Formats: sequence, C-alpha cells, structure tokens
Amino acid sequence: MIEPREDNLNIKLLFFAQFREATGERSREVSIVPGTDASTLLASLVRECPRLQGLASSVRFMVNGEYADKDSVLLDGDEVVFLPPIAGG
Amino acid sequence: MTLQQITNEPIRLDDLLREVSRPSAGGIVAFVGVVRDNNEGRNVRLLEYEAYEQGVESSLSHILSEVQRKWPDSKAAVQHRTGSLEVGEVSVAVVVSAPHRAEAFEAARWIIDTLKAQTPIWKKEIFEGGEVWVGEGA
Repeated sequence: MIEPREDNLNIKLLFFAQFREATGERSREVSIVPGTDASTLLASLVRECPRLQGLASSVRFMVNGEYADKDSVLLDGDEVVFLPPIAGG
Repeated sequence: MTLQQITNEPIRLDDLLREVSRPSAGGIVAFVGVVRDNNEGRNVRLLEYEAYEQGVESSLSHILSEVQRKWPDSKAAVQHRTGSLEVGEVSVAVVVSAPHRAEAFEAARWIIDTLKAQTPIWKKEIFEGGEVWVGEGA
C-alpha cells in the first residue's frame, strides 16, 4: 500500500460484507507510515476498489474491537475494521 | 457467562432462559427475531448473516454493562446467529429476567434496539431476482 520503510507500522485489516466482497479477501496485513489515520487508510482502499466509493461516507471504524473516530491515528499491531452500515437483528 | 453470544448453530431459547432464570426474578421477557418472508416489497428467500466477532463481544459487553447500570436488578443474555438463515429461522434472541415485568420489558426493548444500532453484524438479503446488503443506501 505504501513503500516499505524502516519506521513503518504493520497493521491488520479485516474485511466484512461489502468490503469482503469488493476486495475478495477476509483480511490483509498492511504497512503504513506513522501518523496515518483510519480515514486515510479507507481512502487508500477506495482508490484500489472504486466500487466502495458509494459506501465510504457511511463507513464507521473499529480499532481492536472498539469504535474509533475516523481521525484516530493507527498504531503498530492495530486491527482495523471498516464497517459498512450494520444490520443485526 | 458461558453462553456463546455469536453462534452458527440454531438458537435454543431454553438455554437463554436458563441463563437468566433465578429465584428473585418474577418475570422473564424474551425477544426473538425471526427471518421474515418479505422486505420492502421483495419476496425474501434467505438472509446471510456475518459478524465481526471481537467487535460483537465488545459491543455486547458495553450493552450488558449499561443494562446493569440502568436496571440493576435485571439479568440479561443475548445470542445472535450467523450464516445462511431461511424464512422462519431465529436470527437473534434477547432474554431479560427481573423482579417485576416492567423493567424486564424495558431492558429487553433497549437491548435489541441498541444492538441493531451498534453491534457489528451484517446481513445480505437473497430475494427472488437478486440480492442486497441490508442497510446499504438506506
């Protein structure tokens, strides 16, 4: 996603629902530069999978299983989930 | 609690009732969500549920803590199914016991409403002629 550098951070993305279908993957390890936030990572994924564009504005974020703001700065080892509109029940 | 909150297996209401039943509770309310045969004018064949398990666990843990704060004498249990469900199958069950019925009804209603708004579960509706992720574009 971003060129490898010594100080890059490794994080794990998990994909569900429309994100799983659009990427064809359930999870992915990515390397990011320090200071990257959740919404920047989402924007990068949307560039790769343009069919997710329409969902981007309604996506919520979870980091390590807890809801997080879109401008949350990601840390090494974080597990990040982009949540399209949920529909439990 | 020993009950699995996310399961691929059919939900057994008896297990949830046993989980919350106790001598000091005079009432138990159960909400059971079932796959309906129609949605927005479409004939539904199946609903395919998927869940982010770690997110579900943390979400339900927050919800059940809040239930304890709002209705201190209640005891609640929740189970949600994943996988492919046919019309009539149970997708979710919420049970709450309390000394008296009013708080059991209130808490059960609050839990299912909050789960639907916060808990990371998705469903795809398979209907006659197509499929759609529920909630998309709504």
